[in-house]
Amino acid sequence: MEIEFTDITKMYGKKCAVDNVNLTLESGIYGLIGANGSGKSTLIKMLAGLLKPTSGKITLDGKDICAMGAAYRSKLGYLPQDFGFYPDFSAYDFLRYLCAVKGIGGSLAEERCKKVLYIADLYTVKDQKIKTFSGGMRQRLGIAQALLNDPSILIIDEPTSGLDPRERIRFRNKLGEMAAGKIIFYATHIISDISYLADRILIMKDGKIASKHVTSDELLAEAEGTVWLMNVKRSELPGIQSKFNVSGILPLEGDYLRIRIVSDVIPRLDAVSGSPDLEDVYMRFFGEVSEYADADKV
Amino acid sequence: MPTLIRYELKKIFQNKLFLWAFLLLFIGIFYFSAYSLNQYREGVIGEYTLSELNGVKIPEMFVASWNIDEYRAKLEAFEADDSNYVDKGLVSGGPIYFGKYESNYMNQTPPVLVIKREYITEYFKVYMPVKQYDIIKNAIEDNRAKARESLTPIEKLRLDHLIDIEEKALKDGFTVGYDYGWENILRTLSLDTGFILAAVLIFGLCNVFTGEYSGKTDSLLLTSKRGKGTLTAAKLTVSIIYSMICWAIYIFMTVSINFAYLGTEGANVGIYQSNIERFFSAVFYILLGCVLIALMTLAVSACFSKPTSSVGVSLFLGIGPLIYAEYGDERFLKIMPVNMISGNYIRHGELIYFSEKIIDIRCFFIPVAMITVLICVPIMFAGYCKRQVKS
Repeated sequence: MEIEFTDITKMYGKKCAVDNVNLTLESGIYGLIGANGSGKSTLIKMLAGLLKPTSGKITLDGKDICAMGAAYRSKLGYLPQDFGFYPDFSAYDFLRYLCAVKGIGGSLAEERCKKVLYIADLYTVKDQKIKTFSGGMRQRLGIAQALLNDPSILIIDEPTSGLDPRERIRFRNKLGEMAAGKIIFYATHIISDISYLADRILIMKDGKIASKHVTSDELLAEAEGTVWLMNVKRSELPGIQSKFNVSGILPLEGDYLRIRIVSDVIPRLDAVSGSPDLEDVYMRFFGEVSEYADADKV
Repeated sequence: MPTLIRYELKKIFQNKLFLWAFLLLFIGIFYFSAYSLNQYREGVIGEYTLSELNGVKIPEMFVASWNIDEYRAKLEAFEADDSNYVDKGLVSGGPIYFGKYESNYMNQTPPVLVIKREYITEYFKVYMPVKQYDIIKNAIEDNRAKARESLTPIEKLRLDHLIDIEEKALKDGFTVGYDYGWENILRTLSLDTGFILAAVLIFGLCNVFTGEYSGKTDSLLLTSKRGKGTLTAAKLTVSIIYSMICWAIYIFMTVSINFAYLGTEGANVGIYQSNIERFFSAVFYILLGCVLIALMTLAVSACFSKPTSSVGVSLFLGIGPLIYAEYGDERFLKIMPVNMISGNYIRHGELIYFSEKIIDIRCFFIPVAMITVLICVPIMFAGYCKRQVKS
């Protein structure tokens, strides 16, 4: 199974949200990271068939996904970043309804509902109305609905943002278990999820894929020599933040701070090189000089 | 599909807007039924009221120009026989013809001869055919006089058409029979309850698609295997079922209130030229109108993301023509689906001038229905299935 993006561009009026993306996805977990407004959600919606590209096409095994219609959608599981429920439905009713929409009927629907309710840890509350659910429970229900048809293409946009650490790890592990033979396309801001889960990382910036098909190790290797640690006085911090990407600040005794800077050049002679992590990589791509740097002066 | 239909119905009936609208419909039907019944209920003749005439059984009578003389001769014989009368004096009026002379409505009271109760049936059997025949005959003369004086060719055509209908009734015959209850139900149906029924349909269905957009469930549905064609078909089916449920409740409640008030016999009290065909015709077109309003609302709902826009546009398209047709007298607006629901034009046998002919308004309703379906269904499918969910 192979999904191919060919010269995909999406314009909203004069604004270019996705700019000439070419990409090939095979079985595996793809982590898509990017800042807000970088075009992630637009790219995901085009892959889910909710948006039509202004130009270019997306194919599954050589067939245009728009032309495939229901045949493509039957392989798809989709969890949007922002989605709604029917508040007066119970969790079970909601899933049973979506089974019908997904073309799953009879005893198989019962079986699938039960299975995804267990996966999402919602089986004991299946008869409660959704309007009584917490944010985390709703997010788990969203994950459950995406898994209902045992999809071979799973598109998930910020799936763990409402989950507590335990739920997040549980979901991550479950996704890892079911990944074999599937294409999982996963957009998130949570770097640790990506580092644990994704086979390949795609970095999106200004509508373009800035870096594609790299593993986290490759990204970290590429960032080697760009992370610096140094001790500074508190009063020096605004000046440094106005010039460099500061990815961490640790208070020390007295008036000193230990700061972590992402920069291709050594920021000061007393700075020592540090080991990069994926958050440093993220800052390297998307970090801009802090807009809060001058806040103290104000 | 049955599961989809079940859950789609559940969504509609859980809509709070719909519940309020339905409550309004119940109140409206009660109010207008009571209003309609109250007007007739005031008719009291002597010691009798409408309900006390329950025991009066009169068969339907066929009247035509070839047998009217027979009825007239019997009526003259009845009226000449003093033993048929019990009393002479003043009585308050009412719509029931209950004596030798027709009493005026409400309060003007010419002297009448009150007939013995056991002879009432006999009297109606001869009096009503003659009376209805004469009414039609006089109407023909009136219309002929008006046609001679009419200022516009269209008005003359309309009057000629009416004269044709009336002459045909006299020549081919018509039926005189119990009609008061049915006529009263039709009267209730043609009052402003039509507005409320249309509003119930619009409020109940305006969120069928818009609710998915505003509730952000559309992205889940549109990415599912049956989330486009089959789901749209299910929503369409459910909307038709819903409009039929509303129609059934509307008719059932109106009929029930009238029957409860008049009694099952009472619904038949009052003998006129039987126009029960108009009642069934109105009931059929009310159903058709309900389905068409449902389709229009669905098409609007599929095209708008905001519930307020969906309701506003649906009300404008759905109920607007009823208001405009009432006051603006536009032919095009008269044949809109909401005027099928109102029943008013059907009750009054509205005629429309079209292509140099005068045509009964009902002849337009089926073509209008077909055009509405041909416009609304593609708009609905295109509006929903081709929707792009923007960031």
